[in-house]
Amino acid sequence: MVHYPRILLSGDSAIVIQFGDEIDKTINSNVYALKDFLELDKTIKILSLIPSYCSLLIEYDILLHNQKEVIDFVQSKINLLKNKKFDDKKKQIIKIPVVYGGVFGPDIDYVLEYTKLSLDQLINIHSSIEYYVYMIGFSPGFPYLGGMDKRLYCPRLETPRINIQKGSVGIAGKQTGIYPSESPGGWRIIGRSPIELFNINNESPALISSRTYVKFIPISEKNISKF
Amino acid sequence: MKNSIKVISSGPMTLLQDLGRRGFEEYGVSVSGIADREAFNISNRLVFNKEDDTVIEIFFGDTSLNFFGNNIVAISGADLGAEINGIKCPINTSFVVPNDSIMNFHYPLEGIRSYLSVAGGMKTKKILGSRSMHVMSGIGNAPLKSGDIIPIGLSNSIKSGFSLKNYHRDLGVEIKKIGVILGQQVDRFGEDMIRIFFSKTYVVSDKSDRQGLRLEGETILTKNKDHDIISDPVVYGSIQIPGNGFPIILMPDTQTTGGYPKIGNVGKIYLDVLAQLKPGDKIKFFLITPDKSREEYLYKRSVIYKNELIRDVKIETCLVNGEDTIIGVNNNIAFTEDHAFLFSLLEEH
Repeated sequence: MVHYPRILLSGDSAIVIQFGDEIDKTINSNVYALKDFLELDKTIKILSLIPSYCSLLIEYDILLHNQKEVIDFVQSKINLLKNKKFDDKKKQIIKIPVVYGGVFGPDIDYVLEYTKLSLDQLINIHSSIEYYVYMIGFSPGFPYLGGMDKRLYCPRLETPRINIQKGSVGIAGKQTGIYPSESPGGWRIIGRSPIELFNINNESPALISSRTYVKFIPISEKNISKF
Repeated sequence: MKNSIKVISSGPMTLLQDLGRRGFEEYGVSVSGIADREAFNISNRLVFNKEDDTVIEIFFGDTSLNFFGNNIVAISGADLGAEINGIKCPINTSFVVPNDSIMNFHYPLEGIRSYLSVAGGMKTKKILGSRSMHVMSGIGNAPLKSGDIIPIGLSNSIKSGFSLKNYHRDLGVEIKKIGVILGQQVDRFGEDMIRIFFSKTYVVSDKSDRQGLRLEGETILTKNKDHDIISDPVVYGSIQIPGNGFPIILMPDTQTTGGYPKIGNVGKIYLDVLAQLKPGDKIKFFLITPDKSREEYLYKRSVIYKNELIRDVKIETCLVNGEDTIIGVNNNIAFTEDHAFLFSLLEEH
């Protein structure tokens, strides 16, 4: 039986705090609560904080601190968290316009056949949900979204594409997501958004950040230029 | 005119690099940065740069650079056969590159990544706090290409000809021993698999790059043969085991999170060893504790930063060459009172 939170090692200069082992908003909010705590505290010189679904990685300055010192410090912070509950009061929703199907969704026919849905049904289901952003990873600005409707579950491509267009919206397994930049990938592409999701010139470079919600808004091809 | 370097031609991965990009990991931005910290630190120290000054990381070779202004430079890491006018450049000794010289890096003689630092550092635009190039996302200064001009900052160096006392680095081809700290998902692997991991020899695959060093050899499988985990954080040195059982060691351009179980992490000083491996090179893992690994790192740092800088003049001589009085030579370097130049004895005949 594993007890959470638990502390794992990631080499000689990083530790990982794992709060659970499932995709769950309460577990995820503990990850971010600890991150917020540590960002305010300068006791340990932290080089990187990497949050994910269930875990937070803390990379520290190995010249200044040994592992035990860091573990003891982080443990004291964890004790202060006392099982933070998921708080949805300040819900922030980022609306992402999407052109579904056609040249923008090269896998739409496969997905419709696999899911036995019509194009309108697929669009309605996919764009009706507010998807929670658990984390950003894989590539700059790429959101890991939770909460996709079971009717849209669909296997990934057997051979990943070398080149997925920037803004592509895809489905893979139980997940849906959007590619902020051109990249390789194995998701089934059902549409594309004209919105820029990641821009290094912005103070906060990623449009979508963790702990917000994403809602896809269907638009027609001729409205693309309005964005 | 300010000092600069103009790129005449460039190999596949000639990159500006510093200590990397921190503070944007939450947005999926990789840290990236130099692969071989030892070579980076030494090349910067020999020219009296700051620790995080930007250098050029030359991968494999095929790179020609035209220097403008008189620059003090140092090369550390791999020997890629660098030369100026056919005279081989020293490794781990600072020297003067006179105005309008062309330095050519050819092909790997030992190791695979060479670090070129210039007194004053490279002063291109910083992107999200760093000049490092993250190749996959394209964040950073693009890989160098013909015609690029790299401005050089103001130098703190007034002398050259320095090397680090009692320093020798072995980049030979024997099986490299790599220390590993057991990691995040080690409990997914049975004892039999961990024994295989620490006893077999692995070979570097030609599918390796700045993102991951892919290994071939005995396969490692999880207890339930399931190699999908809920994606969690990874760093340079994380060793992930995908479904085919062949370990991948994540390199500096690693993504911030990964969905394969991680058996362990490479200890910090062994990352520098990995950075110099090429396809076909062999490694063997051994178990190390985090404390021991830290101790090794602190020791290495003390060698790099506390060992005396010396001017290793082997043969005392006195030649007058134009305005400079040469006080000694060591192989192909000529030392004056304050500087070191590339020098060819053959040229005199």
